[in-house]
Amino acid sequence: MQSHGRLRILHLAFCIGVAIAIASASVCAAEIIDRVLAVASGELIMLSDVTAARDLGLVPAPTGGDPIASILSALVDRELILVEVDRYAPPEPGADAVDREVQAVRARFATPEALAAALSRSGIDENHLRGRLREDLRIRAYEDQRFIVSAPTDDELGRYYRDHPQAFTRQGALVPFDAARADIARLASEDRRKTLIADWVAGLRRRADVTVLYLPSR
Amino acid sequence: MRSARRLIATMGLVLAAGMAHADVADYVGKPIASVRLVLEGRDTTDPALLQVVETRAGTPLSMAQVRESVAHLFSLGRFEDVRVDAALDSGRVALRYDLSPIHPVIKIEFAGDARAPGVDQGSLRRAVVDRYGVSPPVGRAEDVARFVAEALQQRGYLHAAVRPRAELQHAPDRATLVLTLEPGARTHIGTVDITGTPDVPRAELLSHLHLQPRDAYERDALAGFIARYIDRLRKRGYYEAKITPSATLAAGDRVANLTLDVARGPHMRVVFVGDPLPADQRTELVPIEREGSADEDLLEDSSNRIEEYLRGQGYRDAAAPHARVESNGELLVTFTVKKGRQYRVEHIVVSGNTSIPLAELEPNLRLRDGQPFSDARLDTDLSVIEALYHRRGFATAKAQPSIQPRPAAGADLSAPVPVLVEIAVREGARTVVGTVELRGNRSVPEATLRPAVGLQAGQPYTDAQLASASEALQQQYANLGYQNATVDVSPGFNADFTRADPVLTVHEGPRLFVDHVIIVGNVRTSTGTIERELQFKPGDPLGVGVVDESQRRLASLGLFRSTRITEFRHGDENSRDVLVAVEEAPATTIGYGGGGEVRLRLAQNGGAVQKLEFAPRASFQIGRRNLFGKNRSVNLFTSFSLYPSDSPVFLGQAAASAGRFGFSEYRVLGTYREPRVLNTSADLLLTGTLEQQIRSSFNFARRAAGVQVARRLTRDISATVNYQIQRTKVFDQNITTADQLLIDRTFPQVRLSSFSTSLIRDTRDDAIAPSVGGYLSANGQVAARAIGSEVGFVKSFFTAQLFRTLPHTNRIVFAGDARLGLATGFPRDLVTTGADGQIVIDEVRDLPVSERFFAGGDTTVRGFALDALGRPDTISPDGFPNGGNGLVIFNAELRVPIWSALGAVAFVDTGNVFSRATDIDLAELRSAVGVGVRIKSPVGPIRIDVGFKLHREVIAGKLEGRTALHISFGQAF
Repeated sequence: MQSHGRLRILHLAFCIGVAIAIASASVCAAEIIDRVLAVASGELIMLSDVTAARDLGLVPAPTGGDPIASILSALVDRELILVEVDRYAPPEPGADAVDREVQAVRARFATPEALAAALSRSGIDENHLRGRLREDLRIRAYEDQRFIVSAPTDDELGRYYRDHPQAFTRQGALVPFDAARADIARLASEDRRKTLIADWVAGLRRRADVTVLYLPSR
Repeated sequence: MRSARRLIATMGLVLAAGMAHADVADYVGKPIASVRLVLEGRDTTDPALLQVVETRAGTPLSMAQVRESVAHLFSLGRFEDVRVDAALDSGRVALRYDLSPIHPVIKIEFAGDARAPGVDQGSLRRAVVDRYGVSPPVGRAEDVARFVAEALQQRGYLHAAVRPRAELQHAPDRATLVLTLEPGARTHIGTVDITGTPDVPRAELLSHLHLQPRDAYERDALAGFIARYIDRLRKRGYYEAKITPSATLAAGDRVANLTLDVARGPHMRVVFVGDPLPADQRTELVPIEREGSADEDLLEDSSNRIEEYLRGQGYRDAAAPHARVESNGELLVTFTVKKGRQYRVEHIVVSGNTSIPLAELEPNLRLRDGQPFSDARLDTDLSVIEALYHRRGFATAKAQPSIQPRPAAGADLSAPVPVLVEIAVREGARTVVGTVELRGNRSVPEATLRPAVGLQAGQPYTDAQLASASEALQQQYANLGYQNATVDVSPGFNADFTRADPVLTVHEGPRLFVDHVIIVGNVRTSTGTIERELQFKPGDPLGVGVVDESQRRLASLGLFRSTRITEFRHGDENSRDVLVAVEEAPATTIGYGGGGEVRLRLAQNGGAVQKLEFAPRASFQIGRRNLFGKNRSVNLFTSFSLYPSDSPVFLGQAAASAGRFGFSEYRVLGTYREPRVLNTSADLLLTGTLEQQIRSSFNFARRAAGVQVARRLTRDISATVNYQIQRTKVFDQNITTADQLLIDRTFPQVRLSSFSTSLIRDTRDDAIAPSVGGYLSANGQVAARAIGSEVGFVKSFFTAQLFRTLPHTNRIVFAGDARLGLATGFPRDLVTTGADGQIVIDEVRDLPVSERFFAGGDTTVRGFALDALGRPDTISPDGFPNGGNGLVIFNAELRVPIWSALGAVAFVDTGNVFSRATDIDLAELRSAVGVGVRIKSPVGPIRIDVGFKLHREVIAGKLEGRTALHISFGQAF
């Protein structure tokens, strides 16, 4: 009986030892805190850039199963667009416009400390954030200059209305064409503009030198 | 048992806690315990890497510093991946930078089912190389794999997959890119249906398209065969032939059932009737075959093109209507060409041009009297006139045409119609600049920007000037670091356009500053040497101009094969790290060469006679640059010439057997150069020379050492100060003792110690073969006994050269040159013993012969042999030159490129040597004209000149020869 108790104690001691060893080993395990994910037109995009974009809401919420891949793709596109924007130098955004953008980011956080913590995690400061938002405004100004969509014709409106009935369905009923005309025109123009920009960015991707080092499995 | 279960649960919890990833925030702010750099699994302490890492042990971890370090490491261009691991160690952070060096791909291999039918590894490899280059980055392996998979799909493997793998090798780092092919099942052709109107039986059509059921379904290949078949049909006149393939996949995509919709279209024939049209223009004007279409729009365009073409030839009323007629399955397109009468410009009258005279307008006009009249050319001329007026400030100027055909009554209808062209200019008001306002320049004072704007009140206003002012402002801002600055302009016209008050509004944008300067690639060159050439340092504004200038300065050091300055962002958006990457050139240079010199030389044969002589020459040079990494350099240059043993240069020596060569001329020159000596902007040059040279009347051997300090004052102007000490031994003189100057008689070996200074302005575009620019130099030299010289003198030499490419010529260059030399000796009492044994004291002002001026030869006056030019008082009775203290040379030369490396010159040279500077008399200059040939070679132009004296004189009792031949290297001046 005594020997059985001793055996149990030894067994217990062995298990605790193994648990401590495993625990200490896992606490010491290294973790990647930053790395290069892609190089787009000579500019680095790092893991901390993706973190910043995600935490600060600088890119649309990722879709699909791999948020890093989704945000990274958006950041690569952004770099390629910026190269074009720099070539054509659109109007410089005013300080007040940049202020408004900064305020919008601040508003996404409950407290200033939360924003500061998010910035710190990504290794950027307010200056950096401000510069980034300024660049976003320049991109928007460039796209507004370049991608002007003419008003859709009646035929195009009709086609859009027929092809997207769900967009004009209110409380289960399709809004009549004439009543929805303004919405159809707006949505059709927006879609057309998005398509033009997407085609342009796809063209930039084809021509640009982009190296993506991030693979979900790596 | 229960306790064991508890234990397992505890272990699980502990393990789970351990496996849970810590947030980055858990590390930020904690002190850094250690920083390791790991290169492919091994720690590295390479200082070049450590110095760019910003995170330091003992400091709190900042992600900003981590980002910066990663950016720095990556920017070195040595790594394809940089990762930063962090681990907690007793509350401190252990940081590890994991560096993956770039492994250039040196080989591409295919594995897997690479021998599947239709898979050609060679063509796949070629396609990859065409698309990604011979060494695609390993980081693009996935792209390469996708590309190869697409290529396999084109071969019928619609579901092909390709897996990339890089096999890395080390020391040196390189990689083999292995692409494992998994083609999967190949799709084959099932049924082939043909619809439409094929022109040949089914079997023949399938044969043309290389299509057989059960063949592999290769879309690109099929498209290629269809294109070739269509091409053949078009050549046969079926310009609208078309075959549209479509495929329906079946049996799990293993079978493609094809449908070919064939539309042969009508057979077409294009006919031109009426007036003739040049055959070589027809397919260009009527591109039915090229476009593969004969639709009405194309035919209409073709008619218009024919008419435009003819109107350009002066057939103003030309018409070329077309007609389509279809019958018996054939489409006949007929162009009926009617040229009409040709109009020719009889005269052009321009009126109303009070501010710009006709003489200024005319050279810009394309219409000319007597030439075919064309409305298009007239329109161009009107635009040219208006543009010219706009540039002069007449913003509303208009040129209105009036065309008056004036057919002569009863004239032949085939004769051209004369046209009087009148252009009435309505100048309108001239706009002058009023006030120029700058807005938005918050950071740069207006006084700084004004000079760049250029627009001045009271000057004529033009849009081009305003645009140029905007660009200049933008450039100035870019140079100050505002690289995104933009400038909006508004001309600010008043109501009647007589005044413009332009407003330039600057949107400055952020100013960029240099954060870090990272210098890489320098192994032997010290970082300080590179930094000295950089026009920026951390904290400076990052201007475009300073980067360009730094790049230029680094390149001009001559130390590097290539230099690259790039900026990259990280962290703060207003700061940039600047990477300066250099590739060093070899430190030791060795050069050697050989050649020959053909010269007309004076020889002793009872007196001075001219003799054409050939002397082989050779040279060897060795240099070491960048000594101690400070851009210091040493060079040793040696050259020697061999002369025939019976040459007059060996006069006085024992004559060797004829036909052999003897060593006569040599030069050994050692130099040490130290740029920016003692941290000044001046360069130091130390030289040591040993040489023996031959001249017409004497030979000399010289040993010399010198120090030169040179400084570039501006881009074009440089100044030098020299000290030189030399000992010259004169021997083998061909001058009688009576004619020999006293100094030479007294000092056959003379020590000279002198200071000299030069000022040079060089604006030539090329020092060897300039086509534009000028060269001015002034040199002064003083030798005095007070500084150790045995003979004292003062000497000056001036050179002025001008090079211009003649307008409207095929790169013909005019080269002009003027040289003036003046010298005088300091008075000196010389004590000699006379023939009667008496002591004679003479005051002499002579210069040693080696310091006197001589003229004649391939670089001075080319109608004369070397040194053979002079006045009676500078030439001995035997005909040998004594040299003089005054020299004047003028040269004018036309350099005409003929073909490839061959060129020709025509020249006029004039000049003379005078005994004393005060004797210089332009009326006594002697001239020569001549021609020459230039052959460009890697060592400079090879030169052959023949000069003809304009007036021959009797020298030493003999009439001079008419010509002189010179063969040498380089230009004459």
